[in-house]
Amino acid sequence: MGSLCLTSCEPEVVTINIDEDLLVGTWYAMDNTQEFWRFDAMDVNDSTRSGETWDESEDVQEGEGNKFYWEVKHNQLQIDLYGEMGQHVYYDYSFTAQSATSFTWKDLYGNSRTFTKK
Amino acid sequence: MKKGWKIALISLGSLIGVVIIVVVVACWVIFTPARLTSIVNKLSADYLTCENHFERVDLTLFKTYPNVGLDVEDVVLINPYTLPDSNALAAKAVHNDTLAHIGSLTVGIDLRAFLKDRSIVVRQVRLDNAKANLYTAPDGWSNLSIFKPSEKDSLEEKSSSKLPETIQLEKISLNDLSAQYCNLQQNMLAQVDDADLSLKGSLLNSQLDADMSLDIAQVVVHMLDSVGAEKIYANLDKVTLSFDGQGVTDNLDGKLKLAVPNGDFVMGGKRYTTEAMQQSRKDLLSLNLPFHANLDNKTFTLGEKTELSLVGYDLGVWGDVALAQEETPMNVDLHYAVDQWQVADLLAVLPPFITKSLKGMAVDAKASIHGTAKGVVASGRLPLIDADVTLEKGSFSAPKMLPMPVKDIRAQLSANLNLSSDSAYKGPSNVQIANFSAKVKKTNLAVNGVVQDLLGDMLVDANVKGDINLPDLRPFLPDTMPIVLNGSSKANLKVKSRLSNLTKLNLNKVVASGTLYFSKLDVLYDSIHAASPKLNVALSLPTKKTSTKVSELLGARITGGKLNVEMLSNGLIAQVENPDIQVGMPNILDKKQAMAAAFNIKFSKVDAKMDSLLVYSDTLKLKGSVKNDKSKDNVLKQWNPDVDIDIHRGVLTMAGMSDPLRLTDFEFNYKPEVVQIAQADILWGVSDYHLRGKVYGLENWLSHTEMLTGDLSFTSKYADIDQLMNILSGMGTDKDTLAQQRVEDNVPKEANPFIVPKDVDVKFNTHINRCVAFGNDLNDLAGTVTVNDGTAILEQVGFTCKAARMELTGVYRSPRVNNLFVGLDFHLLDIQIEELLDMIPTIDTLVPMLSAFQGKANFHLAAECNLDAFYKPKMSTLIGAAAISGQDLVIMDNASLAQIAKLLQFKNWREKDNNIGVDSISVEAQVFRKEIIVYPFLLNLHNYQLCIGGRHTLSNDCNYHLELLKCPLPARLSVDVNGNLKKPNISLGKIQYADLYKPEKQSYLESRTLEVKRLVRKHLEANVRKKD
Repeated sequence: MGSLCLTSCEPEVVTINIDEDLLVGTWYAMDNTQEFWRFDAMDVNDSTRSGETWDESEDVQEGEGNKFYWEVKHNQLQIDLYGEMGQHVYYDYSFTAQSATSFTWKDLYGNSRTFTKK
Repeated sequence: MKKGWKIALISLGSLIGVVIIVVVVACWVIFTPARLTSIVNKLSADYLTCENHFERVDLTLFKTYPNVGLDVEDVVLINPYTLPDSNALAAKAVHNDTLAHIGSLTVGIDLRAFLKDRSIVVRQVRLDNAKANLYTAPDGWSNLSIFKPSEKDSLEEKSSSKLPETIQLEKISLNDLSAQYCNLQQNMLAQVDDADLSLKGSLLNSQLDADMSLDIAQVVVHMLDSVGAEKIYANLDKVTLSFDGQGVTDNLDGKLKLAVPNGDFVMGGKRYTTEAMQQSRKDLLSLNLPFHANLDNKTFTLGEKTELSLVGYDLGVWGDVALAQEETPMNVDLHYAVDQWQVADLLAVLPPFITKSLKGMAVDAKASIHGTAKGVVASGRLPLIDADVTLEKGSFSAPKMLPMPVKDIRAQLSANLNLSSDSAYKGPSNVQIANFSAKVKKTNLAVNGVVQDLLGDMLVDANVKGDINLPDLRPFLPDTMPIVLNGSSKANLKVKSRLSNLTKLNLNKVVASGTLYFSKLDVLYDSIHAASPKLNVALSLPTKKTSTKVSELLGARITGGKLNVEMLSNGLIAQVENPDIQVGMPNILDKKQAMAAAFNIKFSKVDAKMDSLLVYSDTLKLKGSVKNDKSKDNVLKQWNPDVDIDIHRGVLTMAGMSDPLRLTDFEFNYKPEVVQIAQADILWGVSDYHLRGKVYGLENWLSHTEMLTGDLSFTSKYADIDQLMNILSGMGTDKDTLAQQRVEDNVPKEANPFIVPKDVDVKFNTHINRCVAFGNDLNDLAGTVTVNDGTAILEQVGFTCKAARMELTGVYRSPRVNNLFVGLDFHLLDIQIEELLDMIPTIDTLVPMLSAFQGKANFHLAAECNLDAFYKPKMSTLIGAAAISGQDLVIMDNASLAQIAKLLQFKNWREKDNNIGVDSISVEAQVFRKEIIVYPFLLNLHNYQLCIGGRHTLSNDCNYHLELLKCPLPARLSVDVNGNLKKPNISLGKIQYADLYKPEKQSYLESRTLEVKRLVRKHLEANVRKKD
């Protein structure tokens, strides 16, 4: 996010509208890692959406990974990873593809990754 | 009875009188037996009302020489009567209408006296083969009423007159006399069989000289009470009685002898004779009584040789007896003596009702008793009895009272007995025990003292000295008491108690004190084993109360040289020196009361071992109380201790500890709910630790029901944190669970991470002057360290190191051996940047351009990461945020900077000293997994203002952008730094930050960037402690 200028200056990749409902579920990265992202549905009590990401290649199991909140704003998937020590880490992604079984996001530096639903 | 005998004697006298008259007549008129017989039979009708018959009457001179005699044969008197049907006594009597049958009666009369002055003087009377049947009906009628009134009156007048002044009997003999006397008016039946009486004597001018002997083959007496129950029954065989007396009535000396070889005697429903008495070869009763009497005032003096013997048990009695008179009661002043009675033999022959109180007991001794009985004998009054008793070779066995027999009993006692039942004359009965000794198995006891209230519930006030073989005590303790005793003890005790309280072991009513001197003591109580070569125990009962938690009754103070204690339940073995143990306990024999104790214990040296734990202490003091509750599931809960413990110069070692733990001073109070550490000064290796505070729930924690909680002050001048963590690692976690985790996660043996204690919630308020942690030397470390159920939290820990003042809040968890968690909230204030980088090289990775700066800065970092078993970070979990700010910094010149400056056309941007001064910087960055993003920050370099932002990865790929926002030139230049961070490609770039700091022109993402940047710093700086 820090180098936001890159996206604003190089918008050559076509972004699509993000379907929040399709995003709910557990996804794994298609780049030979064992990285998982789980997007939970909205919590009706506080209207937040939460999730967790973990990488089993480092013997980190679901429940032991990093927690985050997520929302779609200005057609950006905004992820707010938070730690127990009070720190927050922010990522904004735009989507270039999305279906019920996969999606591809692109960060502010133009790096893309594709995920498949578990 | 007296009246009956009186009537019998009168009748006999009358009969003799008739015979004498007949003899006189015969002497003068008729000398032939036929005539005499005829005359007597005719004359009897004038005197007797009953049917009678005299078979033959004759005069004799030869049988009675020198006296003339009258010989009468076969006299029969018949006076019919009817026995009532429903009378119990009548049922026992033999009914016979014959009042008397006399086989032969001979009377000798002094012929010279008769011829001289015609006086009839009877010299001899002989009665052979006589049978009599005397009966008195319930209405008072007697079958002896056989004399006509005139004659009878005359005879009664003669008979009832007082004794003649002169009596001289050469001999009176009765041979083969059998008689029955049945008096239904007085409920008495007496039967005498085969009695022989011999009597010689004279009474001249009040001078008496008598010699009498009586032999009776059998005497049977029944006496019933008013309702027909037997009051007295006696059946005596071969009774012999002799009397020999001389003197005047007020000064009479004589000797009375009585022997009853065998018989049966029942009184008041109680049988006084037993089978053993009857089978004994000794006489049932014998009396040898020399005496001096004054018949006028009814006083008797029993000679010193008086002997009363019951089945061979001789009782010597002597002294004075004054019989009751009209106005004075009977009074005695007697001495008695018993010599060497064998008590067991005596008890064996005594009737059961006397020995019933000894049922279940076996008592024996050689008993010698002598004493006096002095005083009045009257209704409710008995004389005072003094007795000096000597017992030898005694034994006592009463399994229900005493579990083991008592042997070798020796005693010298003096008793004073007051047996009067009249309350006006009742008094104390006491025994003075001069000495009493006995042996119970191998235990010897000696007692002296006083026993008061002897006839009631005895009050014992005694000194007891003993040589005790401890195993002998075990049977005296309750079976339920789990105790095994060995060794010996000398005892010197004082006891004061009612006997009932002693026998019932009612200790709360016993007063006792004394000392036990143990040798080779060896005691096992439940799972506690104690042994000492020499130990003294001073006892007091009751004892002074020292605790509000224990109802102290029995007090003990134990002192000695050495004491070994072993707790079998947990393997604790301890040796202590110079023990001084003061213990107060409740009634330990009361099964309803839980075992408890208040104690004050001091040991000069303690050497203890439990499993691999070794403890040594120069001084150990324990003061407090325990109370047993066996329903609880661990030792601490079972004993519920409340104790102050003071350890001085202690040493503790255990397996896995590299250095011994030295407890310089360790004072704490243990209560079931809380351990309060007043002072714990500990040296461990090169470290020193000082603990104060409270720990809660140790008991429940040991039983795995609750967490151990605590709030402790933890200070140290120097602490080896690594060593401390090593010893605390894994505490509270099951070893098997850890081992299983290692197998499941394939954790190598070499990996030995710190496993945070579980089930523990303890807060340490720390202040450590200097410490080493993870290889770093830290100074003035202060803050709160909390260990909470597998999570260690360092809260607001402030410290200074060589680089800066630091504050650290850290979290460390060990949910799995191969998945540890570490989180930091880290603040470095007034830091020298180069020293910061030296101290934490990782920061250079986080903010690469920082290495170009010199000067003091403030650094804030909040980050967390999971670690594997070797503490290697799992980068996929790394998430952090950092902020660095500084003023008046200097940029170190380097090639990259020079290249950037050239591209941006910097001129005159160095200071005069060629340094590159920076007014201020304020950098915020984030890290997630392997990517670090530096939010755009401003850098003021003299006349230039740069905005820098970008990203790089841990593999040093970078995309940074530097853009001039202010410069002396009108141009807006920027450069891009791409490629490898160590050898970057630096080139001119496009303008990106033109509107970043222009709110009116900001895009959504630009405003979001600045907001996030602001929030990151705000959150990070919010955790910085305010400086005191």
